[in-house]
Amino acid sequence: MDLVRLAQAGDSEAFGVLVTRHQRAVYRAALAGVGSSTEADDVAQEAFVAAYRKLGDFRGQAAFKTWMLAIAWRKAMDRRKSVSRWLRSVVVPSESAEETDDLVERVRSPKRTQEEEISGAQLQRTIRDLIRTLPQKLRDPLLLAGSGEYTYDQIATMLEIPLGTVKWRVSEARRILKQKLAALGYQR
Amino acid sequence: MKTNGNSDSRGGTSPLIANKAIDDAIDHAVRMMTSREPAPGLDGRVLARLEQQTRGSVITVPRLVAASLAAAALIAVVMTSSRAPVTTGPSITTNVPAVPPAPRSPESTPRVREVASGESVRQSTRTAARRQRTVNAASLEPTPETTVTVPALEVIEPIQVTAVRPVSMHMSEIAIEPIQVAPLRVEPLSSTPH
Repeated sequence: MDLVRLAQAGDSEAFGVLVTRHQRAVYRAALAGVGSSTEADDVAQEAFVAAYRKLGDFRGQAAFKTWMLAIAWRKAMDRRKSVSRWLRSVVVPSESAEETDDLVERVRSPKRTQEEEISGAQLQRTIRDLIRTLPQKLRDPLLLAGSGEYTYDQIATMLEIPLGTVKWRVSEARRILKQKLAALGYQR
Repeated sequence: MKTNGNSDSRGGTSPLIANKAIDDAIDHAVRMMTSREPAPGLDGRVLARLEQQTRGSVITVPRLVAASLAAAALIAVVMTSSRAPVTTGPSITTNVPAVPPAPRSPESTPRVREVASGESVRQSTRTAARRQRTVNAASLEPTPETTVTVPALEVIEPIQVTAVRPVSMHMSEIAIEPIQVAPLRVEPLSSTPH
């Protein structure tokens, strides 16, 4: 809180410490919102700049991190809705191919058999594709909760919905995913 | 992760997995999608951006002042020029005689032809009026000797209108006479054979 007060008083170094402390949480929230690491970086920067300008409005009713995350999420939503983003997604190829290769590398384990490796990677890819097909109102809380970075209360503040709704949406997202996986013949 | 290796309808292998393993797989996939680290130096980029914007706003203030001064000067020039007489240049008057109206067609001429000749008369009158207009060359230099003075409009006398007197109607003046119906006479048909 002292750092916030110092930053409010115009101490840019104190604000720099706050940025360093919360950059990962802000970045991941942005990533969950926009889905692209490049855009998430930009959104995180925008969020911190906006927070610096709005520091005077921060009354300390919520934790600084929660307040900061709410700003980041709003910025991510603005970006998601922006026309320029849509145009860029049409012109610039998505990073999904790169992500998939990366994912396969990460899933690979020396203890597993070759068959298990293939099926595991395949399942991961399938789940990721299914997550992308979820409605945004279910996908957002699922990704935010699944990142392990935020509490349900923080997610409720970010999404501006009640805590119970967050929990229900996460559960509903998982139920739909399982249902779809079962339909694909994955679940026993 | 428990796998069974059964073939699915798509031709690939889709192993049967226990519910717990599916939960774990979903958790893992979600974590893979979100748990990434920001590119190194994000905090530095944020501070640089802040500094750049602060510097930008400092540069913008003099620019804004300069722009507003320029706008004010432009408005002042426009206002001054709008007050000065616009028609100060030499005036050229062209007095072209109007084309005489076309002779009226005789009564026997078809109606279509009559309409056409009327239109041509109107057109020629309009053209003549256009030619009689005064053409003023635009100039900012005042030339008083060529300035056209327009006489003031004459005062028009108010129009007097006499009040309307309503005439009342008396019921006694109305007389309704009964309809007289002449008696009908029906004569019998003649029954003479042809």
